[in-house]
Amino acid sequence: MTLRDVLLVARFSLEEGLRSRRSLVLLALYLVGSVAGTSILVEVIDQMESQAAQALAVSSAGKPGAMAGRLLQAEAVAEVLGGLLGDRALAASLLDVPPVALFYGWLALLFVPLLVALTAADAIAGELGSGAARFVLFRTDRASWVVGRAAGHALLLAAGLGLGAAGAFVTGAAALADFDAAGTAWWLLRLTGRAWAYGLCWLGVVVGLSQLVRSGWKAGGLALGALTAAGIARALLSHPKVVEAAPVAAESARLLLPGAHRLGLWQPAALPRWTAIVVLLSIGTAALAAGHAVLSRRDA
Amino acid sequence: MAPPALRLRGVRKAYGRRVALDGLDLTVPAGALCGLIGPNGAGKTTAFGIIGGVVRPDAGEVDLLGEGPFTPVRHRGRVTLLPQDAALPAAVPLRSMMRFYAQLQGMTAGAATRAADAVLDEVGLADRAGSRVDQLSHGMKRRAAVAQALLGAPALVLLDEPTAGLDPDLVVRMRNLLRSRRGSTTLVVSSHVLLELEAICDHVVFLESGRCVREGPLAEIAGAARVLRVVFSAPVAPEAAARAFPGRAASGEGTCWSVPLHPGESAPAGLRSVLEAAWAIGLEPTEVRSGEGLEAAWLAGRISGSPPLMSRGP
Repeated sequence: MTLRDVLLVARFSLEEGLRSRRSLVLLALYLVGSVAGTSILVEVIDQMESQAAQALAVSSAGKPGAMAGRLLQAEAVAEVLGGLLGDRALAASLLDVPPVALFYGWLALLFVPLLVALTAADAIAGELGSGAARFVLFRTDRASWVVGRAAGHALLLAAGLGLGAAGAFVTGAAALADFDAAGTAWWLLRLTGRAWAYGLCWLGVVVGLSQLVRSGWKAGGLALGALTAAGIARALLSHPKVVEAAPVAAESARLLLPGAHRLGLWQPAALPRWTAIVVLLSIGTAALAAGHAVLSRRDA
Repeated sequence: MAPPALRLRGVRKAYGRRVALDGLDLTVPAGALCGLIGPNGAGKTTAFGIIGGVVRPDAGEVDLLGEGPFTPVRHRGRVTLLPQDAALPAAVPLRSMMRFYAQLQGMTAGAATRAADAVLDEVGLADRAGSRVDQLSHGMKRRAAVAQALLGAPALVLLDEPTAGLDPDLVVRMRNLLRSRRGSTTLVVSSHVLLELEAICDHVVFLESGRCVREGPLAEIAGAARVLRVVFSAPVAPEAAARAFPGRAASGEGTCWSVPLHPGESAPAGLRSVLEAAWAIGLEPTEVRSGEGLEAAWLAGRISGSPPLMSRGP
């Protein structure tokens, strides 16, 4: 594997992705989802503030957000959230995040696996199926090609997440009173980076699976199947009866699933947060390498 | 003596129970323009895939340019391939795509741009360099696919059905393009159109059921040194042919006859003798070609069916 070839393939894959109608439609849908989600958040805040104003018999402010910001700083909210999360420090740190950034971070972490599955599932399988891989594989080795394709999709994912964050920021800035532009931008940047790290883990899994088949559709099915299976496995491994029956095995198996490390990305302390990021990247790399072990032995 | 550009020994490949290559042996001399001929399913595409490193053989030896089997690091830019039925990336402009391939072959960005422009000009696509592949016609896509195989200065080029789907003008243009590369590059071309291969190749390999059933210089395979093919202006009766060419065992029917040369007789001497004999009894030859032609050689090989048809060149 050579770095030069990886970078060449990554740049070409990114260019291809940015010119592909399917990728553009998916990124546009993600942007629309982000804007629509933020708009719904603004609407919820507005209704909440209106009802609170009615109950208190005071006049509500023109733009939503002013009252909610103060409410979220209340000690009682921190206690309730801490109870829900089982982690007071985490709850306190979340309440410091501007609501638009907090919401976008949640949205991005929720939808990034699906976005990865839909944009990157055919990264390898589609090229093998159409024969396009054959134009490349007598010019570079398979490892450079696979890593380059994955890197190109990683850049495309970063572009998509950045676009969604920008959509959320603009929507929040236009609709909320007392909008903390600098704080929101800073937190959007941080949370987008964390969502990207989570997405890279899933990208490794999806591109790993893409190396097992020769059709984009089959690869898409495998990727969506993996997402579903991971969700079911996580629920099963967290079930009290399973945990009680085999606590060590259940916890060990659960830690192999990307979703088990999602909460770690929200941690205020650097060590647990970076531990989660490193573990996620390791899971993705391992899945990519496992797929490549199969591809390197088969016909392209 | 230069090593052969391509040498396969005992190459075998099976897809499940179906054997695609069954101990394939073949040798292509350096600088040759070699035609790879065989029916559908003979193993041509699998052979190309194995030579180009995209298909893994089950057994056998592959040697390219005297340097062993294909590896991208060793052969990048020197061995190129036009795969059959492979789709180029649809969404990218032609020039970007060619530049990308050229850079992967080891060229700098500047050299890659120049090589991309040169090869697109060579295949007549310079005016479409900015077009996306999915905006091109079938023929243009095929030309673009050929262009990527001719990028830079490859020593060995493998072309699987390069003229498939091209209109007659483009076939001629492509033929001239391949001829222009003869000598400086070893070209291995697979095609079902034997007349087309006969027009450009100097070496041929017949494949059948995953094995090489015949290979050698075109002149030898097509019988150029032994037979004249004569076309007359009107049908010639067998008795008239026997009278015109006594002792030559002429064969044929209607207007087309094959007339063998005598042992030791040179082609020019034979040509003069045959023409004079025909004119002497009032026959009017309108066309004379040297050799039976690839079609006849191929059909003869297929009808007789099996080895020993091997006719290796020196």
